[in-house]
Amino acid sequence: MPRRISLTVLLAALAACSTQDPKIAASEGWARETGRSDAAAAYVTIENKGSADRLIDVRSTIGEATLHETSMDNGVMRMRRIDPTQGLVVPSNGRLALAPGGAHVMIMGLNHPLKPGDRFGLTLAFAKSGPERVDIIVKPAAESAMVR
Amino acid sequence: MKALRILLWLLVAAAAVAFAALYWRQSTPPESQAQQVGLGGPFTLIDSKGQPFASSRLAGRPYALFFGFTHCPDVCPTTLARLVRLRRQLGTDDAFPIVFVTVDPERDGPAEVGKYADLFGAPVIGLTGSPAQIAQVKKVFGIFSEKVGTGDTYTVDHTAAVLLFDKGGQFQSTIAPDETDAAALAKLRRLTSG
Repeated sequence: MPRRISLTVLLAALAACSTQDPKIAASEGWARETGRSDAAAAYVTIENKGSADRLIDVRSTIGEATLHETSMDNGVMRMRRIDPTQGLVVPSNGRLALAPGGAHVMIMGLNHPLKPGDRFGLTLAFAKSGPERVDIIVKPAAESAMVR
Repeated sequence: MKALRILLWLLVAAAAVAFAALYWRQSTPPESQAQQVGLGGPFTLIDSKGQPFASSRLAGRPYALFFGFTHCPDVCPTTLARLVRLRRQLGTDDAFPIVFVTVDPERDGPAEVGKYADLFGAPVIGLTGSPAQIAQVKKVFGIFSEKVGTGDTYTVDHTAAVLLFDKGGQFQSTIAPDETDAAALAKLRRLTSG
């Protein structure tokens, strides 16, 4: 009997999960120092403990931020803006990692070059859960290639 | 009758083998095609001080060559930072020269490539040139690049692989961005031990 009750509770909890809202948390934001270039890439990890959502826009006060994706096409590196009407899916109870060589935040027309240790704010806009602010710390270019 | 059927099946099998061989030939990766045609050749470009840089300066040492552009915020710095890190893992920062050539000579002058090459905390040779010089080296090294977009914020699609040349100046192999560090290190070890 107690076993049947716990099963009912579990099923109810599962049902509640499927209709719950996205629960978004963004962390580990970083960007690469830029040298003389006025374009920077920023990366962030987005965790979602709720239902699926989409990252549709990015904003920053330091320059014009957009979502881009690097892809390989027969040995050629191509970089394209992500269609803002589609955005990037943040899976339910999953994560979306913006990382070198894949989807990233591109910031063009920087007010000033980014130097190691600089910090700035980035606002991520999600289709369902709205804006989420994340701190970005600037890393030295020499330390910006992940071990793979 | 049975013999005829076996013969027909044998013909089918032979045809399948022939098709497979044909397919395999067509799908030979570009790397080995490049090896066959002897990729590379002499060039003269411009270094970060605005002085001519002749490829003869690289003679007698293995080197790694990467084409990119300084406004490239993602793949180019990632590739160069990784090369610098792997070179250090091999031993010293002077194990072999890393050469960066811009495919965007309109925006990347000597100062731009110099500043960019200095970002990685270890020696990287940054080179630019006139549009004609860059077109020539791209051709010699089989590099594709294409400007995308207009205005000041255009980007450049380009061949992403690092090209490795042995101390005799012969093309040896490439390192692709999606290769593991272990695979890339093995290639660099082979390059520097020869």
